[in-house]
Amino acid sequence: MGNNDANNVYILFVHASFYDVLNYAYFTGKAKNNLPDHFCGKCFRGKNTTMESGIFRESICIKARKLSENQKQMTMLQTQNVSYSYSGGTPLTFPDVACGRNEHWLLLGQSGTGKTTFLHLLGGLLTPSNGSVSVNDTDLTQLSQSRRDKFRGQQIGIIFQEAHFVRALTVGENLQLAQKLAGHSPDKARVRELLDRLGLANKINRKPDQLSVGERQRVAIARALVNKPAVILADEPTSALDDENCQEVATLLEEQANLAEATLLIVTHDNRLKERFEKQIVLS
Amino acid sequence: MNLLSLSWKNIINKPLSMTLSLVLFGLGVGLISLLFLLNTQLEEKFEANLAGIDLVIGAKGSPLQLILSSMYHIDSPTGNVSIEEVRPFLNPNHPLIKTAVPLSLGDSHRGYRVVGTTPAFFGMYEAAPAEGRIFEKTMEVTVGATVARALELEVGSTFQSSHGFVQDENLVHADAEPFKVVGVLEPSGSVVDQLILTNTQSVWAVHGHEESEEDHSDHDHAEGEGHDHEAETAMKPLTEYPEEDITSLLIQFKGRNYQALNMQRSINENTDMQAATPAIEINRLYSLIGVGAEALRWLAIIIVIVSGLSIFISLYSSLRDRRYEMALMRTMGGSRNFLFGMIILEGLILAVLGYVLGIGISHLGMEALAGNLSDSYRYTFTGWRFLPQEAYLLGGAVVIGFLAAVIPAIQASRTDIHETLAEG
Repeated sequence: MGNNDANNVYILFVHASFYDVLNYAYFTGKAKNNLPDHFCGKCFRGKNTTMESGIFRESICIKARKLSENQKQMTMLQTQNVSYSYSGGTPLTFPDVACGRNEHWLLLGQSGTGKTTFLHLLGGLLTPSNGSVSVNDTDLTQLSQSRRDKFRGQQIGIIFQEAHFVRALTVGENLQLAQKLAGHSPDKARVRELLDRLGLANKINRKPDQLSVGERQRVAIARALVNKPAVILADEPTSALDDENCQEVATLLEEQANLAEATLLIVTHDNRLKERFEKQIVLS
Repeated sequence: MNLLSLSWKNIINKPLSMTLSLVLFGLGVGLISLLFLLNTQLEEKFEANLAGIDLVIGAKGSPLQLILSSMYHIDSPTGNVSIEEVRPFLNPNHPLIKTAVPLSLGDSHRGYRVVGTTPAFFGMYEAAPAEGRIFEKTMEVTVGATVARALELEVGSTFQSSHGFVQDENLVHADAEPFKVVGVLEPSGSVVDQLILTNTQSVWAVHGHEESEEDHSDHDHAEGEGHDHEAETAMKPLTEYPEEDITSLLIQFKGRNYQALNMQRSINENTDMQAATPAIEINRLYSLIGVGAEALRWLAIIIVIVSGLSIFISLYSSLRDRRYEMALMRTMGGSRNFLFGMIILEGLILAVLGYVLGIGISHLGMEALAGNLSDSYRYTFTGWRFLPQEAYLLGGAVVIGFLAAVIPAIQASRTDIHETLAEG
């Protein structure tokens, strides 16, 4: 797809395997490293990452679509006039935000400015008293409770300050549970691939309690990514970690968000992260 | 990772408290089911042994004791009655009586009772020999299937009986002629399986009543001729021995008319004997046992309720530990219904496991008890029979599991995600 004309071609693959796509590429005379980078989220995204990251195991390509530069920049996370009032407290008002696809944002603010409340509003865990929250063009405030739960499971990955898990389950089972709860069928290959990518392949059968704090946070990242969400929200993901783990987790978050072409929003008061991210929202 | 395996893993993650609930539940269910099993099998045995007997005549005493000793062979006899006294009932032309079977009790062989009777006994209990034949001569015995198996007796075996029902070497009738097995009965499921049957004269012979007569024949004749002599005695009807005693008489009426019913009252009022009606006495026995069984049943129900409570408490307290997990599952897309279902399923799994454990306990317990029961009740019991009531019991267990889980489940489904997560 070397020329501009080809960029305008809309290619539709229905239930095609990766090999079908590969065949198409060869048939049309494209080298494999020139494969189009616009297959749907069920397939693969980055053209150079496809071969290494176990894509061969993923064989369902619903639709291949063309993403223009504009679409890449399209807003994935947007709020308007959002406010929330706790019963008996003064209402908290929040700035309007608009985060594009593949962008990384930092949400800063002192304690008590409602950072966690804002994150929960963005994630649909709380319903705002006023205003609207849209994720991937869906207004969360308009969804019913159960639709919102399902939508959140599929589109939003959330990472908390302390990584919590279902303690009765192993690391691998926790990730599969995330798939199941989002309404996907369990995909062990995806789970293994993710854990492998985060250097946790040998922990798949451990209970979360048996992991170190840093490992747990990495598993939490894997869990947030397992359903290939459009938006990743992280609530103080590094504040419980030492410097080394902090940088590692931040790097992983960036890398994985890039790979998934997801919007990343980190809520933090951790100064160690401030230099790393250009785009910042400050709550006051 | 489906709901069932998730619930299951949650349960086995908390082995201690769950084991407690499980064991309690199992005990309750086990006790109820054991009561069912015992009750059913006992009643069946009692019914099977009624054998169409309308009246039992014996020495004065407790009518229940008379029935238990003469029909069920579990209690001691009330005493003896003389042939002279029962002579009218032994008359084959009695207008009311179809069959009258005399019983002479009091001896046993290695724990199994030796019963002196007449061949009519086999007709009454519809027992037929599987091997050999029914006794004809004195000192010949036909043994029940269980006896033959337990004591390894077969046609041709000989043994000496002992006095009383307790196995005691000092009480063996060592000076009496040994019994000779001439037949083994088919298993019938009734008390006959547990008996060693011989003719009435043999019992007398063992106790030396005919000693003078026998002495003389033993001295003067060769062995073969002696046997002939015994055959002769066996042929004589019991009414020829007015001086001798028997223990009791089992009566089948020709029809249950007014006169037949009056016969019991007349015996009780006008003679030194008593007559007892099996059906009435057995009903009395049921009502006596019934009080205890009822109390046990209530105890079992209380245990089940307490175990339901313990399931409730362990789910409720585990929920408090798992509040964060609940919120987490909600953030991962789990609906309220999912959490509700998960907790309900945990309750149901515990209840069903408890039920399985309980049924296991009761049937194994029954099987373990069977040996003891056979010794004291003279019947064969088994732990490997399953009753329809046990299916209802499963239904009850499921309901209790559900009820125990419903409040924790509602609690779980109402988890406030934001609050819980904000608390950390």
